[in-house]
Amino acid sequence: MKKLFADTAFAVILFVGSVYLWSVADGFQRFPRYKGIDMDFWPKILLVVVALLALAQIAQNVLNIRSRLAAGKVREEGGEAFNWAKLGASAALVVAYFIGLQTVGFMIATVVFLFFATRLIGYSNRVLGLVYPFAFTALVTLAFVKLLELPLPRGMGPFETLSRMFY
Amino acid sequence: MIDGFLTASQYMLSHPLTFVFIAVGMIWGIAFGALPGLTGVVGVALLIPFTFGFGPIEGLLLLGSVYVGSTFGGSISAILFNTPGSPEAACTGLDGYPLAKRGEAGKALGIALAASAIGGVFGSVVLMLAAPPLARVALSFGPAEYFALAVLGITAIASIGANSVFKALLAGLMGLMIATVGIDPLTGGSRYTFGNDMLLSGIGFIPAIIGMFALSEVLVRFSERLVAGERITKVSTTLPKVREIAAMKGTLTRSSILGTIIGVLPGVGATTAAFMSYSEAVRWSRHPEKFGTGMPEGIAAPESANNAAVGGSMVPLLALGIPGSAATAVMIGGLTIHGIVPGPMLMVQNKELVYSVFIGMLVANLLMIFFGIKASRYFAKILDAPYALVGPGIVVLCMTGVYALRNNVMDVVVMLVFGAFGFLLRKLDYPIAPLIIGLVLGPVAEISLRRALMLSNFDWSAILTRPIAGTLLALSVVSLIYGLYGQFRRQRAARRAMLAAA
Repeated sequence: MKKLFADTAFAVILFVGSVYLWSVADGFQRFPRYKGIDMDFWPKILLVVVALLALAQIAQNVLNIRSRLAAGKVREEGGEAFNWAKLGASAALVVAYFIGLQTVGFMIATVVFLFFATRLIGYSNRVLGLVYPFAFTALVTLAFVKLLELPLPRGMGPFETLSRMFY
Repeated sequence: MIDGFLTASQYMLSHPLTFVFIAVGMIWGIAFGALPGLTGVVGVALLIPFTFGFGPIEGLLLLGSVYVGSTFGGSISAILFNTPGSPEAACTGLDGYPLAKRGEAGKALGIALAASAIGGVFGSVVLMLAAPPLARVALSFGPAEYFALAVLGITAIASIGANSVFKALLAGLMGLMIATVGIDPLTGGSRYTFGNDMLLSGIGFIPAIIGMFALSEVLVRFSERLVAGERITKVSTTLPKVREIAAMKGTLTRSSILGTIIGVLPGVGATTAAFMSYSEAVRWSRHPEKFGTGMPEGIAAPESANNAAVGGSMVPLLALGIPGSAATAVMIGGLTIHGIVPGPMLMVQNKELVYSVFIGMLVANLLMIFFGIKASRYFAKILDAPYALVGPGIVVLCMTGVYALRNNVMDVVVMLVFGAFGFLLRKLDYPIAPLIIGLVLGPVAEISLRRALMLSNFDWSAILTRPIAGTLLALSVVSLIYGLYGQFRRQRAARRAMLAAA
């Protein structure tokens, strides 16, 4: 049932969003030469269809909720185990990695990210868990810098100086 | 045509590195296909930034081989682990795993390999024969026809390949809407940038794809607990004997043809081909009740169909510039990086590239037999690789690959946003592929429609009454009705079952 409610909420967001974006499209610059097929023409067609489909999805979900209530099936059947804490921590770690790439550069940020990410997922082999971040970072650095000659983030200030010693 | 093949063969023989790329792509593809959750689309998406360092022919051969390899690779984990490595291998496990449990894992893998190669070669031959004439026909396509083709692409994947037609259509429409962000190609005005200059160039297609497919999959895996199945890791692939293949010739022929046709349809891909082929195999079998217990035809049908669909899906990509599947939609990114626009003019302006792809696909399917025999036991070990190491590694490759595209932090932001968005869509059971296809087809659909209306003096009936455009739009409507009817029947049956059980 929770999933149905979440689904319905998303459909409502889509409907409200399409109304909002329609109002934004009304404020687009006008070009008299393209009257009838101006900048807002295509987005508005799409938004109408999105709104109608969102309403249809809401109606379908309401019917499903009513059927489930009528059948007395309020609890979810089966369903996967979902770890919100782990997801939140993973997302925070990925964002921190993104910030780290720009501030401390690729090598340091990647080693730190891999170290904490493997711990977060619960990898138990301590030795491999310690070696892997360094080995993988070295491999990717070699592949990008030497083999493909593609840029890697260097970071800022002293970290940039440190990165330049390697690439 | 012969000229094209000679030029391409000359190029490939004078640049033997192209064959190395095919081999590397095949290995990468099989590995990504075999590892559950990674899929060939992720494998293709991750390699796109890397192709920047090579020429367009090498880049496209690499990506094409990944696609071929991954389509077979999914069957390895489906047969050995009862977990399809990729969606197109879902049917393969139905008969592959029971056969493996009987101690015939090598035979099951051999059937999958042989069927994949046969289907793949068939699809590649159709690609070689169908793409050039289709491209010539497409040169006479006007804006109305391109608009109709784009509509068919979205509606086909929404109605044929999805559980919920509404959700798939919504996903496709979201992709079309996202494609409107940035500068309007006709007027030059800005749309939905909200004052942010970074959005003037629109939403980067490659960062969005990598975020939606690769990063969101990692987030899903990080947050879920997976059920471990019984593993079979000691395997030695044995190809079926000629008489065993001959005994399945009907199934192989039907599945290869069906797979190729479905692959050619814009927006539909190998997964649909595999499912439809499996159901047809059951329908045509003298012993349908034996399917699901280890029937060789139950392995051969989906495997030949899904590999045939690979070649088929390249036909609209190369000839029309319309992706035939999610993977070919991603491949457009690989072409874009080299400034190449897929479509009918590709056959004229880049004959060497096109015919190299034809030869490359054929070589990849033949090489797959070699790699499949030798590598199955090693790829079975890959399944032992803990996701705790693989998952973070994929995040690193996503970040660095996307950054390397344009040295632009905004691309990484786009990838992160789409990674989160993709995660949300997956949790709510919205399919990702229609959104990506919408993102790819959005500019084509919009410009074509606006031009068509300009040319016809804003007369909509002029678009609908054009024979090709009208036929394609009618097919879109038919596929939508078919999909909606199927969904309605499924939901009514589910509701009745629920009420009966109460």
